[in-house]
Order: sequence, then structure tokens, then C-alpha cells
Amino acid sequence: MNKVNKFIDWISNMIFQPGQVESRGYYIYFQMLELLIISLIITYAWNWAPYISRIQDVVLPLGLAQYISVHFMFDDLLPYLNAGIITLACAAGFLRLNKFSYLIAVFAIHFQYISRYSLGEISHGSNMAGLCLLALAVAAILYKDGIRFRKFSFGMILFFMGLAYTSAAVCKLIGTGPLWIDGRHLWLWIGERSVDVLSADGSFQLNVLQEFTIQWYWLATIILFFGLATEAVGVMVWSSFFRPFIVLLLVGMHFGIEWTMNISFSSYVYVLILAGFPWFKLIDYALDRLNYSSLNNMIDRFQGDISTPEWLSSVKKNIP
Amino acid sequence: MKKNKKALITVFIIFGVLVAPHEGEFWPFSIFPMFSQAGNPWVRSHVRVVDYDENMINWKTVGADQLDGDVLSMVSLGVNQNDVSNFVSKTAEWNERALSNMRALLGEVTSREQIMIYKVTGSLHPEISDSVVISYQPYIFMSPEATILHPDLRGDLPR
Repeated sequence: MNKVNKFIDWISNMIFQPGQVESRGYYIYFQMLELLIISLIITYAWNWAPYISRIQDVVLPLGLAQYISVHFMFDDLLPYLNAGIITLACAAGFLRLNKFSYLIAVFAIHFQYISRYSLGEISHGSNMAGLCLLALAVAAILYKDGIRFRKFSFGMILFFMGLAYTSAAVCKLIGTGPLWIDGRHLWLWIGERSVDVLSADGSFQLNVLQEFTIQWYWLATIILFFGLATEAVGVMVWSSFFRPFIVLLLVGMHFGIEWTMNISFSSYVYVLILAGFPWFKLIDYALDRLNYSSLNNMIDRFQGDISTPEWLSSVKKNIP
Repeated sequence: MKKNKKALITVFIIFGVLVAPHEGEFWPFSIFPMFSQAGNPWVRSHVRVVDYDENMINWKTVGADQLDGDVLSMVSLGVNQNDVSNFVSKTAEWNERALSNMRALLGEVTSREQIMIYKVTGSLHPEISDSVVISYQPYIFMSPEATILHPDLRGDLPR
């Protein structure tokens, strides 16, 4: 039990970094991340609304649709009304008007998702944005203090980000075993996607990478090995030291999936790029060089008391 | 820090409780099981505009190079290809209601054109190890006047 506790503490320390002092740059950086998350959610909500109006019946109930009938959502007005609620709830959450706003947005977008994806497809493209919104919702309920809100939500985003990729690798090893990386499996998926793209767009042409992949079995196998290995180490995003390298691999994997299988997970890539690299150091550096006291004062007013982070002090010493 | 830890553990337990009995999926929670079973045959859909005499429909399963008519692009209809494919592969019983839903999904093209919805299957060739076999089975014929199912699917439905 003691070992389990120590393990949980070790993970908590990595993802929440309790000793780390929040800089002005981090505040701006987090606002950007939060804006990205709510923009993605609002975009999904409005994109799904017109589609829901076309659906008449449920083929495969997902999530809460397994317990509650979502037929009432198959209406000309309700999906748009729900998208409006999601937009308002996200805006209220961002402006900290009510601590339950983000939670309302989570439930509303869950309903939008289970209504939109009731025809049999289990879409994963929006999962990352949904998890990030959930992290904001939990943090908003738990913490009034902005610094703690940001620390918890960022830690929770990192936790589920790492868990998601590694669990995907574990599923592959359980579902197929180590031979999952057999290049012929990729050929089969490329064949599947060729039918999908032809049916969706009206034409399909293999790209250069797909042609090489189909020609060379070893290349197809290496690509699958890279994908599986990258997913398996996804959990290492919990460590701030390894995070940028792992995120680079994950972004590369997503591009690989897009080029070989024509499957785009763009919202994952956006969140990975923003959450995976320490952009706040750049912002801190820029703020320090600009040294606009009015801008700094404005940030301080929103953020609360802050001090110069240690790493910036050392950078400042080295600047002639 | 303690509060953070407790909250994270609580969310993690909720995650486990929700995904475990729901085959790994409870949006936004997922263990991402897609692509976990590699090498399995797959089923997709493909829709074409055809010009058939309704009494002489060609129900023969063919390869991509022997398909009749022209591709009907799902993007041009504003329909997601995955939805049509999943509708075709996951509908257990093709009754009047399912067919009416399919018409609603495809929209007004079904009241204008003759279309054939193909069930497309793909698998690794059982004998030639470096080959993928893709076959197109004519599945549902829809015209402004009639809906005709592949003979194997016809149950009590009126033709």
C-alpha cells in the first residue's frame, strides 16, 4: 500500500509540479491553451448540429444514449440550441462567471456527441478536446484560485494525454499481440481507407508514401512499429523533461497516420503542440525583453502575485 | 497537492467505472481500442449512381474495376462516409424503418437518381500472402420509386 502511495505521489509530483512558481508567461500560455480547448469544443458543437437534424434513428447508442433515448435531439432546433448552450457555458467558464459552467458544457457536448455519433461510428477525433474540457470543469469546481486552477487542469490534461496513448498501445498488444506490427496489416488498412476516400470524395490516388508502403513490406512494418512504440511511451509526457521529445514523436505519428491512412486527428495535434512544449518560456523571455510595465501590471492583476521563475533569472544573467 | 491527488484519483476511478462496462468507450473517456485487432477483414460502403432496369439488377459481387455507374461522392451530399459505412455494416435487420433512415441520411438524391449501395469487404488473401482482396457486393438499390434489397437480405419486406 505504501508503495502504491509513493507511486501515486511520484506521478502527482511530475504532472502537478507543486514546487514550480507560475510566471506571467505561463499565465498567458495557459489562457491560449484554454481558448484553444473551448474553440475546438464550440466548433464541434456547431459542426455537429446540422448533422444531428438529419438523423432519424439510433443504430449504435454511445455513452449516456445507452440509458436515455436521444431521439428528442433529432430535431431541427434542439441541436442548435444545445450548441448555443455549449458556447455560452464555455464563455462563462472562461470568464469565471460560474464554477459549474464548464461542467454544464461537458454534459451538453456529451449529448451533442452521442446524438451526432448514433449511426454506428465511434469517433475519437474529439476525445482529446473533451478530456481537456473535463479537466477545466473539475479544476473550476475545485479551485477558486487561478494558479491552482491552472496547475490542476494542466496536470489532469497531461495525465489523460499520456494514459490515452499508452492504453491505445496496450489495447493493440492485447487485441493482436506483438505481431500487430506486421506490415500486411497496414496494407489492409490502406485498402480500407482507399474505399473510404473514393466513396467520400469520388476519387482516390495513392500518395508516394502509400505507394512505397505497399511496395515494401519492411517499410510498412517499420511504420507500424514506430506507431506502436510511440504510443507505448506516450505516458512519458507526464515528465517535463521527456515531454517535448515524446510530443514530437506523437505529432510525427499523427502525420504518419494522415499520410498512410488518410485519417486526420487535427485537434489532437493542436493540443499536443500547445500543451507539449514549454512555450511559456518564450513568452516570459519576450515579456522580459519588452519590459512593458503596463502589460506586466495588467497580467499581475488577473493572475495574482508572481515572481520571476528561476530559469528566467539564469537566462537573464547570461544575456549581455 | 493532496486535493489534486484525491481529485485525480476520483476522476481516474470514474474513468475506469465508465469505460469498463462500455467496451472502452464513454466519451470523452476512451481506452482507444480502434485498430487494436489488426488483420481482421473489414466492411465498408460505397454508393454509385446507376442506370438499371429494376427487374434486371446485377446483384453479382465484383471487383473495383467491374463496378457499374459512377461514384456518388458522400462529401457532395454533405454526408459522412463513416456513417454510411457503419449504417451498412452494423444494421442487423433491414426493415422499413432502417431503409427509411438510410434514405433520410442520403437525402434528396434518393428521390432523383437510381443508386446502388455496395457493401465492400476487404481481407488479406488467404493464399497469396502479399495481397489484399477487396470485393463490392451490390446491397441496396434505391430509386425514386423503389427500394430493392440484395436477394439474401430480403425477409418479409415487400419488393
